[in-house]
Amino acid sequence: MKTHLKISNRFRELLKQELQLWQTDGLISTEQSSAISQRYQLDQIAKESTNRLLFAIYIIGATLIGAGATSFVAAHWEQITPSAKIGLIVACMLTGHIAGFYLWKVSAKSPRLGHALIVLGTLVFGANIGLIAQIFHIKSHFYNGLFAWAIGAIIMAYAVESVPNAFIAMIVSFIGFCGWAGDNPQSFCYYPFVVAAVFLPFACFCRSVPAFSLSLFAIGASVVVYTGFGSEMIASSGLAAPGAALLFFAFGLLLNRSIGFKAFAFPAMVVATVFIAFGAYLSSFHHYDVSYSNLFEHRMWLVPTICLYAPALLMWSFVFKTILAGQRISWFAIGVFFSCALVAAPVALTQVSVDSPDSFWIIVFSNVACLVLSAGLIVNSFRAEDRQFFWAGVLYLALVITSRFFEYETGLLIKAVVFIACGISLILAGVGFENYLKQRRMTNE
Amino acid sequence: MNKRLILFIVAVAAQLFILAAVPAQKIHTRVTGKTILLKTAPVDPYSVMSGYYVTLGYEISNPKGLTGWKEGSEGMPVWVILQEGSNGIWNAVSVHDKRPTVPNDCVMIKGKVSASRWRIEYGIESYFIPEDARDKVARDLRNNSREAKAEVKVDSSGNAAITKLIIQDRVYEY
Repeated sequence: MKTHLKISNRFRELLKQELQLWQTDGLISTEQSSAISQRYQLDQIAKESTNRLLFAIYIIGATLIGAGATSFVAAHWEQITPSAKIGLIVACMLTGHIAGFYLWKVSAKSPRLGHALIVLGTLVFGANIGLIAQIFHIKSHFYNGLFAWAIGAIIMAYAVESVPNAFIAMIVSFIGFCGWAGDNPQSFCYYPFVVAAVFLPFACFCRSVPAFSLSLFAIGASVVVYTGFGSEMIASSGLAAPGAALLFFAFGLLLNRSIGFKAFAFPAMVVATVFIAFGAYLSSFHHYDVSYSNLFEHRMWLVPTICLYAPALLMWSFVFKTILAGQRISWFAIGVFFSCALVAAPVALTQVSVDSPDSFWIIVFSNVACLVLSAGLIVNSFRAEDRQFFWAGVLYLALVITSRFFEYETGLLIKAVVFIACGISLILAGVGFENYLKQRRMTNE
Repeated sequence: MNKRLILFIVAVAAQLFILAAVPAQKIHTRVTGKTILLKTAPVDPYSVMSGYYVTLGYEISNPKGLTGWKEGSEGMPVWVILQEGSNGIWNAVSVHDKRPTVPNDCVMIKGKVSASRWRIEYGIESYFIPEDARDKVARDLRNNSREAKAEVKVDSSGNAAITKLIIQDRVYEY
């Protein structure tokens, strides 16, 4: 089926129904109807539907058999000797992997089922680590088991080019990292560097946008979490989060100029926006008081944080050079950049300057950063005629306003007025934006 | 053999290697180690169970009064010399901060200083109990903590692995 779009089955079913009507009404000829039918393989719909149903039945049947086998084993688990237990659980894992590889890569008869079986094999591998630890009475930190699981999963991901296996590795390793960071806040943090060295290349190798986005998120989130444990919350939201945002956004701008990785540009910018939105929002609450805080009392958290800022500043200097050379930059980028600066600068200054500004300025600047970010998104939505930016900006603004309101005012009557005003404003803004889009479409036509 | 198959085999082998590495030391200790009996010491009666594991304390975990003991930093490795008593229970004789020479009738067990800095942990403080036996074992241990013993295997490097829990004449082996 040659098309440049991913065609849904629902579309094909509707098209098949409509083709008959068009032909009856004389809108298209028999030859044209036949050509369209052939192009979209409309006569295969029934057969594909049967195949899908059969596949679903196989999966349900296999799941039920698997559940029954598991129950049988569980009921007799204590009677099974340790060697037999290990043999059984390893056999389950190997069966999943081997059967999956055969169906996916060898016979290619059921690639999806095969891939699913390999993923199942990796999940069983993770469970096996826990079971073996139990059999031999090994009690260690839970994150050691998770890291072992992640290593096995990423090796399999690379071997068979499996994005779900990479996802398992990333999620499991991140959870393990959070546990490790809680126990070792002053130890050197390898995790973000490992993610950058292992998971990012995988995403590029497989050209997977979800894997790329999750890798960036894992890098930024791990630095934010580690900074939170190693220093204080304000360092986490006020320094680490903006650092991640600056780096990823600049990375996205540079990817946009590349030939092979343009598809990664927008996801990188979205991840960056999430971090600065989170950082600015958290820093905008009034409960921070940095007067008695020494964020640099323990310094290990500075290493990964500086590793975010250093390449970010290099990349942004390159971006500014291109702007000075005449390249245009979006309001989105301006909004993110200035938001990051507004959040990070006062937090850094409270610790560096002798006449340091107090928490009041962090709160003010963070709130301004929230407004700047919203403004950047909303203005960009008008320039790009894109709803996603508009609603992201408007909803974030509404969140910030209502949060401020709940923080500083508790009167029920005023709450009611503000809620109603926010709701009406949202509706009016949405309607106004849709009208604007409609006018622009009419102008373009 | 094509490249895809080779990579797949390498990945499966890596997972099997990880699974083998998890219990490798314990298996080695169980196979090559000498069997000794250690007397357990009472632990917090309200937290005998920790998830799926029963928490065990030992008389040899308390090094106070032992020759060579001085309070160390958390995680510091120590080696403890054990000698068998007349009742078949092995007791601590001395503690060393470097691997010592082991007398003929003694056994050396390796441990590390706990977070509290005045106890030693040997990696045998947890024993997995199946769900249906958990309540029974926890109650037995709570009521007879002074009469509980653990059968442990110790290899030539001092690594230990618990094999049985014995309370009076009842043996719990999982």
